[in-house]
Amino acid sequence: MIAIVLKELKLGRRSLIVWLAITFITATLGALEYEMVSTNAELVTQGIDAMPRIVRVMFGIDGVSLTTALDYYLVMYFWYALIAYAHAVSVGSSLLSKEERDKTAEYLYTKPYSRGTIINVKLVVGIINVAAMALLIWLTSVFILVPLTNGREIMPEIAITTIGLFLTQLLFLTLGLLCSTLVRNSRKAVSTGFYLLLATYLIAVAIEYLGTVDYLSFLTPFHYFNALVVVKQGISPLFLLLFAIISALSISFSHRLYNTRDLLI
Amino acid sequence: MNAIETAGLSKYYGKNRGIIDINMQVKEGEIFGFIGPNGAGKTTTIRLLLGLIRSTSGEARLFGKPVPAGGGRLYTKIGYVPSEVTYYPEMTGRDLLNYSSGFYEVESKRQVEELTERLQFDPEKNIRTYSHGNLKKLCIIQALMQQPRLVILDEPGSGLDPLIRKELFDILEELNQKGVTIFFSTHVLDEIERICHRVAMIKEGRLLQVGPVDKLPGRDMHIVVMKIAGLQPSKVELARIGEAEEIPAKPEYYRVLSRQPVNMLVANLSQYKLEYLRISDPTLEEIFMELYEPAAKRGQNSYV
Repeated sequence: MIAIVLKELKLGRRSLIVWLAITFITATLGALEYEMVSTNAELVTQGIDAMPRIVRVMFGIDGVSLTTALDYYLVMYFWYALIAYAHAVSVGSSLLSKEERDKTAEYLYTKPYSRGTIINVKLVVGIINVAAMALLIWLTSVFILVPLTNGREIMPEIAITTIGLFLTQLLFLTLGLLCSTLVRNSRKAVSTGFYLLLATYLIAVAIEYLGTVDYLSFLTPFHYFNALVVVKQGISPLFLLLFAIISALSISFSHRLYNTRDLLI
Repeated sequence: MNAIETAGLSKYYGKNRGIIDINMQVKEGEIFGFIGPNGAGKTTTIRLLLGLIRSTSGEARLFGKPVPAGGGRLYTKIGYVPSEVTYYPEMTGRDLLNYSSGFYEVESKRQVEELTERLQFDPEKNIRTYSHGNLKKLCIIQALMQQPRLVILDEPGSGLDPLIRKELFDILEELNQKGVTIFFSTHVLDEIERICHRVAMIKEGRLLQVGPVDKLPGRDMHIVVMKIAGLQPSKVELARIGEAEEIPAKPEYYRVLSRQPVNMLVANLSQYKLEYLRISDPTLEEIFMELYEPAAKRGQNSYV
């Protein structure tokens, strides 16, 4: 099994490096902008306030004053999260389907490991991938953003929001996996994963914009560990439970569907 | 014990026929050929045996155990060579062999070295640089290196040059002498004639015949090729001997497919002034054509 993990990590390293590079560049650009934003915080905040609210909500800058280091981190977190979730969906939806896309399924699935074992092993690979993204986000926040802000007081907030981010990544990873077992065509599986991500993002935007339907937050993983809420109230046990249930169901259904379906060869 | 056993095995892809009601037993230690034209259902049958696809109805068993849903430990006993080979292009041949050996508990280094040498394969190159033939060699090595009890090959000779193909069949025969069951599909009949103990013939998803190679229907036929000098026989006269046709490129030559006993056949032929005569047993190719070629097509140029 370790052989599969190492092979998967080796073959997927280029893709992971690209995603890590995108995240790192985003963090660096954000850090470069920090000085300008912090010295003109009031002006920038006025500019943001002048935008239509829907735009502010869509870009994660609604209700953010940008006058504190924490606010600035939360804006950056929004972009980190978008990248990290897109990565998680991409990894999840291609873990299994790429074997069929690349015509290597006939080789892999005639080896003496059950499909269930292979799903689990690939899931481990997926977790390592999303963990690498979460780790980079934490590292860039700690080592690039924090020194600039002189605000070591936001370290606990960075830690807890990164945990929330990682949990949401795991959720999108398992949902992506489910997509790849529901949709047989590999390209469609990946695009279905992204449609799901987009749909949950739009639901999150709608809930936040309306402001009166918070009880619908269970519909979108974007809200399970919402950074602003997590910073104020910590990780919600209810959403933690929901995360566990959805992840477990996604994995369970993926096993059931993938074990019994014809492979596309 | 049967290495392979199917009972009423059927597969439909939606409304399209894959295979229908395949009943077949392959005994342990046999070399079993599975022949049929393209699209007959050979690959579908093999994929069902390997659990890559699920049957619509019926059952397949390997070594007495049902083919497991979703694969599993049973495949430690099986080596598989598909007709089309695709691997991870980022790997070298050696990487793939090392990776493959990680799936098994058997020490395979010696087998890899021996097979690599016999098949004249260079494992140090990148997989994306391999030709179709070299990919096939790599596939054969990785399928055989872990000492399987059953080897399933789908069109094993395709892509290999005649020398390597001969070497492959030598290797398969040697494995069989050690008790390994060989099951392979092909439409190249001399491969079947060369090493198979029994064959199954499949056509349009249905099994036509299963039996020893020398007991196949049509094995009682004789192929007569003759040149008749002087007055040429009528169609009716030749029809008494068998299915006859002129050989277009050779005037006065006839090819006759006859089921008459040899002495009767010779007696009937003796009435003609023969300048050339050859009587031979049919090849599997000819039996194959007899079984598969549409009667209407066979009737063209035919005297009966």
